[in-house]
Amino acid sequence: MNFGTIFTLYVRNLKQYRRLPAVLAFSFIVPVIQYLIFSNLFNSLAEVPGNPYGEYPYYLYITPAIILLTAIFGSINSSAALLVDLNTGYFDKLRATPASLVPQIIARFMSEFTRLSLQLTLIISVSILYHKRVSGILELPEAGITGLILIVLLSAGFGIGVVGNLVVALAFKTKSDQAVQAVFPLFFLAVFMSTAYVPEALLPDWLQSAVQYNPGEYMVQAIRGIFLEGFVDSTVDAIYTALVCIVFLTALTSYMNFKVISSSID
Amino acid sequence: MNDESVVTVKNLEKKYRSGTHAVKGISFEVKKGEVFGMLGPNGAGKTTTLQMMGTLLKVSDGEIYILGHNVLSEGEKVREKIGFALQESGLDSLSTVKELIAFHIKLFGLGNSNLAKRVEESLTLLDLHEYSDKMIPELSGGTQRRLDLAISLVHSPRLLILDEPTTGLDPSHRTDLWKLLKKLKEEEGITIVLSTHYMEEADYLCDRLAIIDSGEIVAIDTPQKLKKTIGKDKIELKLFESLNKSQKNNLDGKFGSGNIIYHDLSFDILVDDGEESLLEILKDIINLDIKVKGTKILRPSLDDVYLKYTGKRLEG
Repeated sequence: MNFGTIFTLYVRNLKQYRRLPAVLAFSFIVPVIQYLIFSNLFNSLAEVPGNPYGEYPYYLYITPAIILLTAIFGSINSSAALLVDLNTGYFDKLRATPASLVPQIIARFMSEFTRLSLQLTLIISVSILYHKRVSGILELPEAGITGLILIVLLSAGFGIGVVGNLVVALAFKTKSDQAVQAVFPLFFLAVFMSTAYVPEALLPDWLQSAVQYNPGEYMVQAIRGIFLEGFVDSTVDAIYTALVCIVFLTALTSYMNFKVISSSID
Repeated sequence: MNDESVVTVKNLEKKYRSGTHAVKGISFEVKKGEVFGMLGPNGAGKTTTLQMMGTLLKVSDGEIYILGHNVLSEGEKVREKIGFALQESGLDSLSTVKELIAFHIKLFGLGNSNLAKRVEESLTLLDLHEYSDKMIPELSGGTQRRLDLAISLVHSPRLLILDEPTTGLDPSHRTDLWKLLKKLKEEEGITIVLSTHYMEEADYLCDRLAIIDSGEIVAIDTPQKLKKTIGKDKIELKLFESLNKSQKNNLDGKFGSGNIIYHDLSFDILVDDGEESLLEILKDIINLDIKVKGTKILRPSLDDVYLKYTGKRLEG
């Protein structure tokens, strides 16, 4: 495998976004709007007697949820440019050049990882600025710059490794943008079926048990820990659990992806 | 023609998971500088064969060597040396013509120092200058085909694989593309393997031809030799009035009774080469005092060849 070829494809993929303004705009604007609406709409929840969000205002509590949702939402869009190539036949055209199957997939994930990291950096910046507006203090999350980088890497890793692999497999299988977009509500529900928006104590009993089986929950715990608590023991544990979760699910979805792509060229 | 083999296909098989047996043990060889064609209807196995040659499909059984490299074990080397234009000209719809050519030059690791010059050369070769800044979806089908060829040629491949290169093009674009392929063969010495279901195209472009039916090669040779297997050329002579017995006897004596077919107001003479024999035959007919209203040379076509080997007509 030639790394020069992967890099050429990677740069070309990034340049493609100039011609997909809708994807680019929605990738960046929607999470910001969502963050601002949710923060404003439910901020008063933290002021009710017996505040279930502990010492944090609601907009800080849900920041990890918006970050995770941005990662998932952005990864679902990652199939858009790939579908253009698949449906025009250009993907196959490239397979007959040094840009065969594996370099194309790797370059695609690399460019999506880059775009997603920028999206996540933007949403984290917005949350920091929002915090300054409300509290008057400009401060980084508890874990500092390292924590910020880790949040971006964990979220983008989960987004591209797990969700990206699934939507790419679906794109290969169906070659349909509608089919790929149709899976979005599933992930949306998965985020709601966690402590992303409400603490565990407020969830119904059955959901409190189900949360333990939701990979999204482990991501939320790790991001929230880094964001609000810093690198304390419970955060480090949550980061390890999230990493194991990402590695295991990425391996699983990569295998599924490999099987689907292999059968499509068999 | 140089005898160096560019493509060697041995007992090639393709069975899909669905159970379809698309290619059934075909073998052929393509020499350097040749234009080799595969003629057959849709579903005959042409595209499957070409896609296996281009490393796009897995080989079920058999072997393919391209420029000495085994396609199964040395796919990467094969891809570096071939140019492949697929049946549907799949191009990056998010690029301009110039951007796409530049990208393909870079893909082959060629554009570091003189990218602009190479892009210019590609635009010139395929006469694409006027479209250089246009987005690809804005181009006509014919221009997209030319662009597809341009990006397939950026690395000066020694073998060009073309899957139905003129399907969907109007007659004028088709003729333009034929001329271009002739030029590539004659001026660049490039070896071309193409599939087609147009007999005229196969006849015009191909040095040798494999007729494919249901995944099998049923005949393989030059178009001329394949047509010779059908029989002789026919010279049809139309008459003002029917021949009398003595005229028929004279004709039988002159050309041999086995070489003449009589009709009501015409007769056919079978010859090896109609064009070459026509003048001599007309002189003989005039000497026999037979008045001829008109003549026509009827030659066996590739359609006749296809019919002979497959029992079906190939519409093109």
